[in-house]
Amino acid sequence: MIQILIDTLIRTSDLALIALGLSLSYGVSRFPNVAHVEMAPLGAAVALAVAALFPAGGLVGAAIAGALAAGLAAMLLHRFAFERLAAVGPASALIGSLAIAMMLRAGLQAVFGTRPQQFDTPLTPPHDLWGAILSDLQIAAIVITAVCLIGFFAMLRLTPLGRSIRAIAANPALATASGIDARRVTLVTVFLGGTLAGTGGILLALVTQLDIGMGQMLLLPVFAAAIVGGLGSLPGAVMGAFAIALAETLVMRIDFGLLAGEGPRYLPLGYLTGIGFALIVVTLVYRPEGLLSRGGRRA
Amino acid sequence: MLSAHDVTRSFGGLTAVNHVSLEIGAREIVGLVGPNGSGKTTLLNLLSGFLAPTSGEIRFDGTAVSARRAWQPSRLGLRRTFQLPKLPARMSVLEVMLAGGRLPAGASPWRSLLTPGAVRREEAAFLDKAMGLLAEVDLAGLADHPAGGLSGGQQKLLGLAAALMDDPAVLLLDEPTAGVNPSLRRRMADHLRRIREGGTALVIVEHDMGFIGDLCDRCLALDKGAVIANCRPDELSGNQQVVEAYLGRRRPGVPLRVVAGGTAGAKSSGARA
Amino acid sequence: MLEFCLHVLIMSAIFGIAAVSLNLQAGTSGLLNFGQIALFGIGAYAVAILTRAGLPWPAALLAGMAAAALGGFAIGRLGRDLAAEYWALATLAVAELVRLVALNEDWLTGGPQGIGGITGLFPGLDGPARALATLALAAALLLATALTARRLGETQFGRVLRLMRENPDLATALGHDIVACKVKVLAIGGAMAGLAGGLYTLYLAFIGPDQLLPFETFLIWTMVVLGGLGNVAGAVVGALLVTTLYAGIPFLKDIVALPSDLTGSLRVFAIGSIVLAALMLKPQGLVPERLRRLHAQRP
Repeated sequence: MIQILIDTLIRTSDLALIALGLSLSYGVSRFPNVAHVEMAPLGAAVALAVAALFPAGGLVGAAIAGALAAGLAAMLLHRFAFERLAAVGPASALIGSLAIAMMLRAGLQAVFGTRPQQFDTPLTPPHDLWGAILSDLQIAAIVITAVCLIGFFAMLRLTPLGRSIRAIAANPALATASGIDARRVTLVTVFLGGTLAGTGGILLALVTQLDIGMGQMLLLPVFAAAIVGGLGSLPGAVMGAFAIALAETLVMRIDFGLLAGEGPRYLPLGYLTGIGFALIVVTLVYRPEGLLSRGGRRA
Repeated sequence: MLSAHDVTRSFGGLTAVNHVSLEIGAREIVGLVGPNGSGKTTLLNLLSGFLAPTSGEIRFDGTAVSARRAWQPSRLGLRRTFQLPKLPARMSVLEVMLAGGRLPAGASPWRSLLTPGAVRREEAAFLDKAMGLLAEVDLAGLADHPAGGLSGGQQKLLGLAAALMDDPAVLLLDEPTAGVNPSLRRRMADHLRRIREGGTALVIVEHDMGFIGDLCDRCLALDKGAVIANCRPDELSGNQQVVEAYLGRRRPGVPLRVVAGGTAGAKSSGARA
Repeated sequence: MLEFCLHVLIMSAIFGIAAVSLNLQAGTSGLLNFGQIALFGIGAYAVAILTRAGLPWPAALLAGMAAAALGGFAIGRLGRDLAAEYWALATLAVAELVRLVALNEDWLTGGPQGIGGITGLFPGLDGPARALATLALAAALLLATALTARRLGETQFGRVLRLMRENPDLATALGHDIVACKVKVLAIGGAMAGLAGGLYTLYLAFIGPDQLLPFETFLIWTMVVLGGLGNVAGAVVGALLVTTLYAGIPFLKDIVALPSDLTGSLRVFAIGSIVLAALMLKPQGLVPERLRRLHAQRP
């Protein structure tokens, strides 16, 4: 029982920051940006490189550098590609973001190689928490994710920047009319979204390893989280990440044989990644506005 | 022909159309008037099957209109136009006209491939009809131009002409004269009269009271989603409720143009008649 | 060299069919199918399974087309009232589910190894003669597909599809059932994609889950976007260009001495940059959609 909860939390922390960044960018730019997910391996790769080149900066310094690099990359891409593509239409922006995702992944592979790499972290014995096993790094990842989430939502509620972001996400025309520089706030928002994704990628790389192809693995679960929560809804993205994590954990642990009155039979592990896809399809077909949201966004 | 029975439509907490019942007879021209936000376009969307009523029923020629099959009323002879036609930029004027016709052979992928003769004959007949209708709205010379490249007023005329390709029994028009220049507006009224003489009933949402007064047999005035008057156009200005509906929305600094123009238009048309 | 040229031409013809299919869906009808490779894959696997079971290849090809048409019908029903970008994400997810099934259901699909050892086309011939015969067949089928697509685009069926692409409300107001149109065009596009997939299997005598990666969908999109959305000739030109480029890039390493693990990245990068450049510099493609001047063409 505890193990299920812990596994779910670990998976949630993998997905939540990236999904939140995706929903945040969607809220201001109004198209599903596939390239957003690539900010995760980008941030992690930069952090790894910084950690190797400047060991004096420590792991935290390297992580901050990586997250900022991811944010900067997201902002530059928005400024020089997506602004123009989005003007043509959401379809062009979507195809363009796919193209950019491919290019980013190929570029990262060319620079950093395809072999998985690891951060140089001290090995500590895992803890036994009421029967559940988890490592120091996993605890750290869950805590850091939680701190980032709390910090982010506090910023959104309490600061003038947060108010501007919410205003633009709710109604760009009205926000502009009331004196908000929509373009600048959008760029800052996209920067924040990239930073969140970069942080998520760094944490994922810390706990397991840096796989440059992680964007491909993350794409559909992260989109599933954001879509299940309602694209553009920020608390929804976090809850969506939890929902996907819980569904993945549960489905892998349910003994279908027992339900059918036969011997033990589990869903083949190969279908694990399919759960996110299936949830996307189910959500889009039955509740396109998001399973966890109330607003409508149908054709 | 077309009837609404106790139709209500609300969006969240807002009731846009409130217990409306109405009846449109064959070959009638009915104006739908009311201040901004009174529910005219929502009512038009309900009547054409583009929106499902929250409660109540709409029937056309004996058949219930259902928003789940929004395309069906059009095939039965109940058609509509749009306030903003947004015509396609990569289709020609004549193509949009043909899309308004009923070409069963060409519309079927199988028959398109297997019976080219039937497709050609059908297309030739509708091309003649389309050119005739285009000539009536002065667009024949632009037949091969991109539809989306026309001016706003021309797009309205083309939208109207395309709707006529299937000889509808009832045509719902959403602000046919908005954006159309005054000289064309006069001819638009003549054109609509000819359409009625061809056997089509018209329901017209319109702000231009002069235009309405000139053209309509009858007016339905809406306020806050409810019908507040059902009378001849020249009786509107004498209706206390109608005048209040317009005056009530007046904000300081906004002149009384709608009411003034409306009464003047209605009176002058009455005088002329 | 002759062998290589024949190979490139055969692959161009096969992917040309898939591109014409996607062009009918996306270019003519505005349906952003990001799961095109699933339809291709259904045809490919159906042909592999049926020929292995002893069916002659023409019958297997027809069955593969029917199966893929059914797949197209299903994704059309699935997203019947979704907004375009959401439907695009749903098709991406469906395609990944199809690939997962291919990967995991060993008894039917051979699992990760795929299905090999298929007799293929013209077993009586060998060497260049066999390649020439295959090319003639593939080119004839491409021609038939392109003529079909062109014919469907110019009759009332195509007019309604184009009206649906640009203004679905107007199409509905003129009495056209756009859901039925979507489903029909996806079934037709599915049959075409299934034909391409079946030919692919027969030509290479092999099909595996790695041929169904989302990147392959993207490759087909590149052909269509580069050639010109909405123009059948554009899709064929795009298929030839992209296939040649894709097959030619590995030769670059002989010229500029690239390490071989970089060529894969370089390929992906090149394809991504072509799409991006095409979207930003020439959104209508090399062979733009033409306006149909019906009046001038009248007898």
